[in-house]
Amino acid sequence: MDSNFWQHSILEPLRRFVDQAFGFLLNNFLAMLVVLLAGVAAAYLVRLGVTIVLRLFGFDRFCERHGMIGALRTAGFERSPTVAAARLAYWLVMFVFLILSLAALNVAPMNDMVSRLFVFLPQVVAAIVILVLGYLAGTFLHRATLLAAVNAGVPRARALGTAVQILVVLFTVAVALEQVGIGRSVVLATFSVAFGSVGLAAALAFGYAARDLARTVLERQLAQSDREGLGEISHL
Amino acid sequence: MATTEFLRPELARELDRVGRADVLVGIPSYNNARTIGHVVKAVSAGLAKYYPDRACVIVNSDGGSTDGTPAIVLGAETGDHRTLLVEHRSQPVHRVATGYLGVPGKGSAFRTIFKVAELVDASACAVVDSDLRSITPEWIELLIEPVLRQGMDFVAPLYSRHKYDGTITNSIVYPMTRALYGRRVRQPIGGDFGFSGALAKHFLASDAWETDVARYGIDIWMTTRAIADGYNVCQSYLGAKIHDTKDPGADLTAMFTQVVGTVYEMMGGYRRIWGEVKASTDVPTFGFRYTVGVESVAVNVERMIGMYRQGAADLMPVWRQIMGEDTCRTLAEIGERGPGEFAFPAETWVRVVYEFAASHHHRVMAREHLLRAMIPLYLGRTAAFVRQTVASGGEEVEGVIEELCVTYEAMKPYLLERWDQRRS
Repeated sequence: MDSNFWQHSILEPLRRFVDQAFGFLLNNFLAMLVVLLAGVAAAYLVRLGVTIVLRLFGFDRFCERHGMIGALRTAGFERSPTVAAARLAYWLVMFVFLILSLAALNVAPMNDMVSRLFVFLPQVVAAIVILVLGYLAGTFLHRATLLAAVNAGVPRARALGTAVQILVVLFTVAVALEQVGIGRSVVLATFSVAFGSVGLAAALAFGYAARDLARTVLERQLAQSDREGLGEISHL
Repeated sequence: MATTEFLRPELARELDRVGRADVLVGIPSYNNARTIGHVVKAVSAGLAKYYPDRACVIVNSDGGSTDGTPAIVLGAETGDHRTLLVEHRSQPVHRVATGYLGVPGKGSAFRTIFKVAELVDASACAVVDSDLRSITPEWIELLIEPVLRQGMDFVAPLYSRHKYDGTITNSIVYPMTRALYGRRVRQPIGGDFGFSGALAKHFLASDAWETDVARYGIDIWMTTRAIADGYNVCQSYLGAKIHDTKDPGADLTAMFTQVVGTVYEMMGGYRRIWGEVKASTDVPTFGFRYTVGVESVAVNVERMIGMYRQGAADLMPVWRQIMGEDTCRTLAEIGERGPGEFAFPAETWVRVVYEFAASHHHRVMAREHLLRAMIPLYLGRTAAFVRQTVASGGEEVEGVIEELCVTYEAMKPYLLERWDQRRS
């Protein structure tokens, strides 16, 4: 009697628990490890491939031309843009495989979290792409504005160029946040108020406070001769 | 048979009527009703006087004038030529007026003229501006004769100009063309020029007509191609060039970026040729050179210096991406000088032009931005040139320009070094 009790109440459940734990360890946990190792290998290959392709297409020179090196240094990254992009690709792949490895564990609460992460990941990637493109556009427009203002003799040309760049970057950040669904209504409201205020301030400044300057600038634009105020010189 | 794409259909019928021509004179136009009548009369008189036994045609290539310019071309009375003619004409002078198709600009107008020259098989041709007030019948002989009887393919104009006219030509285009391609064409950007039918066909074969060449870059493009492709080039002295008030739509930024951009762009395609040129030589010059008074020109030196200083203050980060540190340091020092001490040495200017050329080639930034960044530097150099020569006559100023050209040629190895420096 005593041995049966011992068998049924203690040993059997213990044996079942050990079987389950062992099974979990053997199957799921091992699967998770395999997926992780595969992820490390895949991430390494992706990093190598990205490095080769970007070097082939002169990515570093492209970034240097568009002023991205400075931005990377400001962010504390001293290595080349190719290395930065390769590392980003490496960790993105690692992240994907990490999520897959969690799925391999087959634990019910984790499965739900994993599927949500998978839905979120493309939006994060899209937001990163938007930020990069927005930064490039901001840099380009900053320089275009600066050059146009200097060649037109507009005072404070550098401030004007910087203002344009800031506006573009702010717009890009707003779009990126919208993309990942963070604070949608707050971002939209903030953006609308900020842009509206800037526009109103500029209209007041240019149209009222600086109306004489505005008149001079417009008259020069509409003048039939000596548009740049340089004299009657014929340049060609 | 040559195709007639980019020509208006009605033109083909007109050309059937004309048939074949020996001499063709093209006049590009856009709203030049006030001046084109005089030009047509001078051209007609020139053809009647110098080529009475040749089949001649005048072609007006118009950009969509709204003031009746083409009608004036067709209807201009040539008057009584007995005071000019030794004998009566035995061949008619046909007149054709047509609109051009393609990118708006002088280049597209020229392309139409070249095409007509090809279709009528003209052997000697000329193009003159439609707003000329100083054109005489002799200009036709001076532009056509070197082609017809001297074996020339391209006749560049040579004008008497005010010492401060043509500053882009004098400070960049002429010295660069001379240093790069070895020929001393004094005014490589002239609106009036002569060319052979063979050269017209060569130009037509290019695919540059849909680019900025079709706007302000066409003149330097033609001169460069004629020299670099081995055609016989000369220049003819035409006297003073007086034309109507400058085009109010003419904008320095657009003019500068397109002309200098064309010079830089063409360097890429002709690297093997200009890399081998070691010295420049004169081109044959026709026409009798005489002194002529030219209209005075007002120059706002203070504003130019102001724009240079603003460039030095605001654009230095951009300049550092384009030029070397030494050059940028020198430019900063120039910007800090007092108003009475402003000077822009020739050697510094040549370094600027060459470093911009190399950076343009290596695409260190968007090319439009690079060329715009050069404008304050050009204005600074022009201001310094004006200050240096304010008390000088025409000959002394030519001497200063000659020294600049010698500096360009002497520093060519520097250009080659910068050009080849950033091979990827």
